[in-house]
Amino acid sequence: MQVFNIFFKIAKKHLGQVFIFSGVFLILIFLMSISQSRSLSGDFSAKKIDITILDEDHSVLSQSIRDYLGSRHNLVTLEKTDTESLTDNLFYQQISYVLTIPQGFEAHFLTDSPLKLSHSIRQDNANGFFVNEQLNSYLDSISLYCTGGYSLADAIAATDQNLAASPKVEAITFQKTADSGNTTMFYWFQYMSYIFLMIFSLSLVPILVTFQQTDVSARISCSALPAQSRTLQLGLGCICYSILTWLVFTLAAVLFFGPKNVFSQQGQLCMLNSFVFTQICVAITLLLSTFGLKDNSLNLISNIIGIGMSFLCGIFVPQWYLSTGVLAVAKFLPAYWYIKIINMVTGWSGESYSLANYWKYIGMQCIFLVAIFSVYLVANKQRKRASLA
Amino acid sequence: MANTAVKIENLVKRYGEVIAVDHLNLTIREGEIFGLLGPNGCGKTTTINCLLSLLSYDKGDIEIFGEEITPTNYKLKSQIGVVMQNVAVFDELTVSENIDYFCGLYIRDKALRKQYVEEAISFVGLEHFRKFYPKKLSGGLLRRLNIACGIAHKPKLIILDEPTVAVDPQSRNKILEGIVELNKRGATILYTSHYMDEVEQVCSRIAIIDQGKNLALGTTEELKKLIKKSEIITIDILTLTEEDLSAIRHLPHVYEVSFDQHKLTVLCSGGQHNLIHVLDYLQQKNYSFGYVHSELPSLNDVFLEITGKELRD
Repeated sequence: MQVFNIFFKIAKKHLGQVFIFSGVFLILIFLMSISQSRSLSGDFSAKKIDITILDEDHSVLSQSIRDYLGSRHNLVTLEKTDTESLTDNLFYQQISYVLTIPQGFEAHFLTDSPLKLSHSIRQDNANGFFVNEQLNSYLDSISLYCTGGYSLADAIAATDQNLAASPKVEAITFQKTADSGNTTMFYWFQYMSYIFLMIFSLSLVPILVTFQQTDVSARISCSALPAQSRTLQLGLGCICYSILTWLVFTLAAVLFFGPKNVFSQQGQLCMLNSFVFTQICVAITLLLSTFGLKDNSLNLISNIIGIGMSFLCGIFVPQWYLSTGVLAVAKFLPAYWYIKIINMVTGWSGESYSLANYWKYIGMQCIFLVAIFSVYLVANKQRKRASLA
Repeated sequence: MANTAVKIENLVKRYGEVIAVDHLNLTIREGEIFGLLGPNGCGKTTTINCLLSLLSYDKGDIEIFGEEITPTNYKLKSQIGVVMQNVAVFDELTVSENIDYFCGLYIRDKALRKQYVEEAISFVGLEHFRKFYPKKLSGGLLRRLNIACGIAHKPKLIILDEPTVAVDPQSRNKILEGIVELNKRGATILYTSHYMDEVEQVCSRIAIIDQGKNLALGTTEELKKLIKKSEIITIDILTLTEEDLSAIRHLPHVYEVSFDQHKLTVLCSGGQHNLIHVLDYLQQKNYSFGYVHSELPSLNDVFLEITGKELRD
C-alpha cells in the first residue's frame, strides 16, 4: 500500500486549503442562520385592515355589509368624512380602505341597473383588493339566494351562515411532518456542495497531479509495482479521502444540529444527496487532474467551476429567483439537481415532496457522475497515450 | 566472457516523420559501465525510455538479462534502477520519505527497506539532510537525492540518464565516484551524458550516437584510434617561412600544419615522438620558441571527426 500511504502523506500537506474553505463554510452558515431565518410555517391567518364605511343608504343590506366587514376587519369611525379628510387619513395610513354605500343601493340591488359601491384604497397596499374580493363574494352570494326565491333578509341570513362556517383547510406539506426548527441544517447541506467542489479541486487535484508528474510517473512506471495496483491504490485513496471529508462534515452537522435533526427523514435524504454529490466532486477532481493544473491555473479553474456552478444552480441564489434561461442551462450541471432535492425536501421552492422525484433527481446526479467519470477515463487514457507516444 | 545485461537490436523509434532512433544496435555486458555519448536530442533518452518500456517503439528487440522487457515484466523491472534526467521526487516528502517511497516500490519488507534507505542516504552523502524537503536542497543535493531514489533497492542494472546536468563540480565528483562504487559492488551501469570528460572518466565502453544512429562503439582508446588525428602539437614561435612549414609537413605522421599569429599547430596521425621530431627541426634551424603543448585527441575530437560537428552543438 505504498502509493496509498503516500497519497495521505501528501494529502496532509494540502490540508491548509481544506481548513480555509471549512472556515469559509462555517462563516457562510453562521451568516445565513442570523440573516435569513426563513419560516417554514404553513399556517394562514387573514389580515385585518382598518376600514371606514360611509353608509348613505341606511338599509338592511347596507347594515349587513357593515356587519360582515366589521366581523373581518377593524371599522374606524372618522369625525370628518369629507373627501379631503378621507384622503388625508388614507395618506397617513390611519385607514386603508373607504367604502361608500350610496343611497338607494338596496332598492336597486336586484334590478337590472344596480348602484355601484364606491371605494378608495391606498395604492401601495394590496389588502384593499382583498376587501373588494370579500365584498363581491358576499354580495354575489346574497344575489344568488334572492334569485333562487329567498327574501332579502333570508338571503342575508343564509349568506352569513355560509360564510361564517368557512371550511378548515389544512395543507399537508413534507416539511411540516418533521421537526423543521433548524433550517440552518439545510443551509449546511446547501453550501456543502460549493465547499466540496472547492475543497476537492484545491486539495485533491494537487495530490493527483503530483502522482502524474511526467518524471515521477515515469519512475513509478519503471518500478516493480504493477500498474493495476498503482491505479487501485490511487483510486482507493480518492474514495477514502472523499468519504472521510463527507463524514467529517456530516459528523459536524450532527454536532451542530443534533442527531434528531440530522437523522430525521429529511436529514437522511439530504445526507444521501450530499454523499452522491461528493462522488460527483471526486469525478470532477479526477477530470481536472488530467489537465495537470498547478497553483494559479488550478485556483482559477476551481473558482470558475465552484462559484459558477453555485450561482447558476441555485446554491448562492435560490433557484426560484433564477430566470428560465439560467435554469435551462443549470439543468446540464449536477449541482442543479442537488439543490433541487434540498428545495423539494424543505419545501422552499414550493415543490411538493415526492419520493419518486427524489430518486429521479438522485438518478440525474448519478448520470452526471457516470458521464464525468467516463470523460475522465478517456482523457486519462489520452494523457497516458500522449506520454507514451 | 561476461553475460549480456542489455541487448538492443535494430531499434527504431519514430515521432511522426522524425526518426529518433534509427536501427540502433547495442550490447551491454554485465558488470561494465557503458556510456551512451551524444549531443542533446541525439536519441539517448528515447533509447532509454524504450529500454524501460516507457515508450513503445516501431521496430527492434530489447532484452535485459536475457529476457524481453515489457511493461508488465515486473520481475525484470525489479532488477532495474533508474535515475531520470530530470529530478523525479515528491516535493511534499522529505529526503528519507522520498527514498523510502521509491525503495518501497521494490522492497516490501519494512526492516530491510529501512536498512536500504539508510545505506542509500549515506551512499549519496545526504545524512545531514534526512528531514529536508527537496525545495530546500541545492541543485547538487537534489541530484544526489534523485540518484538515491533510483538505487536504494540495490538493482543489478542501473540506468543513469545525464545525472550530472546543472550540478556543481563537488557534487559532480561525488556522483561520479558513486557510480564507480556502485559498479564495484556489482551493478551494471548504463550512463548517458553529453559531457565527454565524464564518460571518458567512468565508462569502460562507450557508444557514440547521433541522430539515433550508433556511429562508433568501443573503449576510449579504441574510439580514439578510429580517427586520423592522434596528437595536436602547439608551439609559440615568432616567425616561420613557407619552406619551414613545408618541411614540417613532411615530417613523419604529420598531416596538417598551420601558422597563425605566432602559433604553430601541427596535427599528427599515429606514430610516436612526434613532438620531438618537430622540436628537433626547429632547433636545427635555430628558431627560438616559447610555449609548447601536446595533447591527445578527446572524445570530442572523435565525435567531431565522425559527425563533423561539436558534441555540445
